[in-house]
Amino acid sequence: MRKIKIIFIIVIVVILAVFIVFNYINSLRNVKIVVSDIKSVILISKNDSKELKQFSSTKNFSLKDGSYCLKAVDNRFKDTPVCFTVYKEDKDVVASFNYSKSYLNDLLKKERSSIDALIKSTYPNITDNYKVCPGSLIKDESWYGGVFVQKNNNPSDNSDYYHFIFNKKDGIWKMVAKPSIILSSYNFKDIPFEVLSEANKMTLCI
Amino acid sequence: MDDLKRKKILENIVFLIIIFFIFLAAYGVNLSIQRQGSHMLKVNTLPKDASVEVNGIYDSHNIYLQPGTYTIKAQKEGFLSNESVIEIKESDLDISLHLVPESKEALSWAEKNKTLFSEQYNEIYDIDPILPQLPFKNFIFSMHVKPGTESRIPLTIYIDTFKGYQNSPINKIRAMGFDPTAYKYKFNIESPF
Repeated sequence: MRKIKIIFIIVIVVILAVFIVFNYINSLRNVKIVVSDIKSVILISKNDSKELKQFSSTKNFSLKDGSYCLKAVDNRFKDTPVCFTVYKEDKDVVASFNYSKSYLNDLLKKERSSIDALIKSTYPNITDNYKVCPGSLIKDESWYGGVFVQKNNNPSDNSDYYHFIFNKKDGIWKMVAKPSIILSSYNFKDIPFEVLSEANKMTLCI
Repeated sequence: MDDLKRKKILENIVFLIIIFFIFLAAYGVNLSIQRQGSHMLKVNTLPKDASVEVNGIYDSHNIYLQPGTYTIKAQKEGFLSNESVIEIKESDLDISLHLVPESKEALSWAEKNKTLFSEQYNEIYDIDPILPQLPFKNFIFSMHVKPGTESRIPLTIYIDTFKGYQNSPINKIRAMGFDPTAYKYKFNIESPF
């Protein structure tokens, strides 16, 4: 009888141990990180800033709930990490990074003539009353933010400046946000917030 | 015979106690593995029985979360839902999500619970942290929100200024620590474009 009880206890302990291990494995989520057109990406645990893995193609990971960040290892992209949170379910994460300022400037050189042509065709007399600041590409090669600064007869007078945004679709640049003192996210719901925010930060011509 | 019976009963009791402690230990080990490194988030909602979602998944009002950024949403039929993005760092956190009554039933519920509701209702105005800083006035511009529209999203900021100074109030909002892109504006000067 005593032997049976001992065996029973051992069986229970084994079952519970299996249950705990199973529960632990079950608490890991399958996270697919989609990577394309980038040299390599580093996966970092945000909790302890530990580098978990460096990889260069789409990969699946078993991750615990929590926050993680991806960092691009490629000169074309900004250092700013892209973070995501894993919570209770599997998820797909697209490693999409913003281009660095210098890379965007390189890209802008190729686009400059078509952007200038669009400004001229949309506002033929703009230079009569406004100074056209050399704007910049924002986020990627498809968004351009620029500024018109009001000219004054008296140079010591203050000037209003108007922000505008162009978008490139199917190889053609188009004005998507008319010049405005401030481009509100509520008026331009189709334009990403970060594009509007960056365009709004542009001030007088440098 | 009696001694033998007593011994058996004692043996059975010990056996059951051992089984109980094994289960208790297993439960403790399982819980500590599950909650390792996590912190408790307590979500206080008004009304109290509003449902809570964490990153789009239904959850309880007391949630154990690993450090990270989460979107917490409270909702209940008849009320406008309310959500907040929180960051769990190194300690437990309490947050309050109050829902604005919208339907007839919800409004009558708010009326019945006026004492509790009106006190906490004022906190709704804290949804947008720019509000305590408005109205703002100086020599070249003034900014204000129309009374009664404080809880409306988007918040519309009315700006009165002079030509040549229209960007100053926007720069002021940025200096206050807010992104001016997130608000709607009405200027007293017509746009030339």
